Amino acid sequence: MSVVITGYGAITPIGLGVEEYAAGLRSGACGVGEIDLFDASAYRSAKGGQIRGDIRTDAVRERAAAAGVPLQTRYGRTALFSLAALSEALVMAGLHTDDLGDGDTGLAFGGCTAGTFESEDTLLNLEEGQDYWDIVPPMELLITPVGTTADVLLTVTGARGPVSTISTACSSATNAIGLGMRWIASGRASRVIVGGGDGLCRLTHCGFNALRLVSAETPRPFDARRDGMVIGEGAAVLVLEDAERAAARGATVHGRLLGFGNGAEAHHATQPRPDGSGAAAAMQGAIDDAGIDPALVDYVSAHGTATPQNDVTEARGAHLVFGDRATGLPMSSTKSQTGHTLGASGAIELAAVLLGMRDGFLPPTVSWGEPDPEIDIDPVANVAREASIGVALSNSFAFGGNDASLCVAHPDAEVGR
Amino acid sequence: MSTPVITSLGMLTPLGMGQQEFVDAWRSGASAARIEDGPTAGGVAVGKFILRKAFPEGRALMRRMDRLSKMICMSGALARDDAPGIGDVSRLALGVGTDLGTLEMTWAFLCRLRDKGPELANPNDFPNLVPNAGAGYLGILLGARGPSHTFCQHSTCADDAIAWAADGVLAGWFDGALAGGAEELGEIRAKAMARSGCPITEGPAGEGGAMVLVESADRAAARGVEPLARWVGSWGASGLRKGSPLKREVDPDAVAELVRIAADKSGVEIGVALLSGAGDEALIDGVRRGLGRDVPLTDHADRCGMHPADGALRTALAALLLADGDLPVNRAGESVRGDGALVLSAGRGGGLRASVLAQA
Repeated sequence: MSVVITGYGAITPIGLGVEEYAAGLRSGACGVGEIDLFDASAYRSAKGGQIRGDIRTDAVRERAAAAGVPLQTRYGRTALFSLAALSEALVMAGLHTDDLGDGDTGLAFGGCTAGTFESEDTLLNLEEGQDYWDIVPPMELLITPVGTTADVLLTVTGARGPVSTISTACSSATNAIGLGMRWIASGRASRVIVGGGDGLCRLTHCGFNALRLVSAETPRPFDARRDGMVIGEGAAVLVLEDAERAAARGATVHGRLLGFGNGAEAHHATQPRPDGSGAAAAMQGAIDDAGIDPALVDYVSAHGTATPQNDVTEARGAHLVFGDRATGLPMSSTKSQTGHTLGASGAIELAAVLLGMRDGFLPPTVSWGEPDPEIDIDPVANVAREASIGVALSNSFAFGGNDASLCVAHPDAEVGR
Repeated sequence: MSTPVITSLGMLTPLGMGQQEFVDAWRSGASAARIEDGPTAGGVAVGKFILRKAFPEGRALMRRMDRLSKMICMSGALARDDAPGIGDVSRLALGVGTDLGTLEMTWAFLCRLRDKGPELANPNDFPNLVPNAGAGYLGILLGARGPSHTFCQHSTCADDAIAWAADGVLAGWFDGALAGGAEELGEIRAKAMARSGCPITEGPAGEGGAMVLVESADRAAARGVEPLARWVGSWGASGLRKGSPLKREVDPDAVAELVRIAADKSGVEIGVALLSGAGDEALIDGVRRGLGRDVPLTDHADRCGMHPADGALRTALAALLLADGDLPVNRAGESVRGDGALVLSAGRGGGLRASVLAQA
């Protein structure tokens, strides 16, 4: 059974909606700056890919109204980002929430933080003598579990098919998209809302700072001077459908999901296998699942965190999969523009791939300046490149050694099963 | 396609550690529910377990692990040890469910951030705060490099994990998986439940872990293993009543519809039901209407306590009940009245999952 993407939406630090996002990707915009969501001055890095201001712009509100999605704020930033991305995905897919209650629409969502930021606010701003448990609003406790974002989307969509939240750190959204793809392929649902959302919070910012995995400057993926990631925030939502169902309702296809690879590294809690075999297994798994020749892959949307370990092992993984061809294979990291949006990153980056396919460009790795002799790939340095993408991979690698990759094709590409 | 079967169980429960201890306690009618002092007061805790005995080579890694991860790894080790001749585990998939994850440790991390500032945050703690930490550690300890997912959809999390594992075996994505879930008791969980108005009075809060080995019938046969139960299928749905997504009010009509679908599509005679919660009338009514009759219900919640990932324990118990016709369903001494078992879970937010197992 063929799985197609009929709609997608994205809320990112470089654009509220896919058109703004596409313009930002193409222009080499960078959404990384000083965090003012909370006081980050005492951390090693005060930088973040923060979404600033009220995201409920006129355009976002119009899309939400058209899709029948209330832009509720009481469930926190992550849920709001996700609702806005959902609106756009539904509008693009020609759907309204009234269309989704048929029992054959499922929801698979990825994330890590849900309402953690809102919960932290009360805990970290207690006044002398106050007991947290006496004053915390119950709502703050209820929106903290990671499954809450899916709860909110479920209520809004009225979807009555299968529902799951996957939380595998930075590969959460990619795994959720893969799960939705599997559900359709196995007949569990004919339409699945998939994606991921994560908001900035002190917990993740502090954690990555403590591990010394963050940069105090803008991130420089694949650059010899790279010194860490910068945490970002956002959400992206995609509508996956069985190709026959999509065709029957005359939906426009924006991409075809051909394959999904996922595997555990069984190596270390936070560090990748140095030889790149974990990254390679995920990419090879997606290619094998798609049933295509690796030579057909035109572009790899890299995990590309800009940590010293990730980027070199990801490049080694590409060489294990593509051989010498990896040297010239375009492989860029949009985290250089958005920051690392953690559990949302897989969906946000897949949206970048779809936009590149649609508009004929390769998203760049910005802030790149000095080649690393151990990273022998084409990072699409600094400037977006005009190119057609027929088939692409989108990689996400995570703590716990959880590696995932998606293989996606242009709607007109005659490849895959 | 190959039929998924359950061939081994790893049970870390308040009623006992390991399949035999649990079965003996269950058969005797024992209950672990009791009032305790300390941070787990009012809850039902698992006994002390020593993970390093299960993985002697992993001692250094264990020094970095949190308690929930240890529970997940211990459950996996028990399932492994219950499967003699399991052979090469490098291609095993891992599916883990946990709703709350390391809630207690997360709280401690944030309190330290508040009290000491970010410069004194412990870098060793943070990797344990992601829900998939336990799956990651289990993969390292076992050397399992197959697909790995961690599911967090409230009280269907472990059911989702096991259903994913069975789907994978059926579709040929992998030929074996350890799948289940775990949750831990703690002071913060209890306070959060009380403050947020969660219905903790339904039954005792519990903790524990359970993992099942799901593999293809062909793989089991090649190993000469008699399966405990055959996996028939799992069906998911959303059964949320209109209103806040944060409420846990399950629509009985949605439950009945899902149970009807599960019963019809499975083609087996459901002879026992294992429901989440303790006496949730919406679930009981939905099962009755979905099946068109009453079936015996297990009383696991009263005896082992409840937690969001206890769908794994119920799946393991279902396999045991189907494999051993003499094992009582509950302390009333009822028996399984058919060749199938229904495991039904309902989570906050309306997620429902109905899974059906059958006699092997």
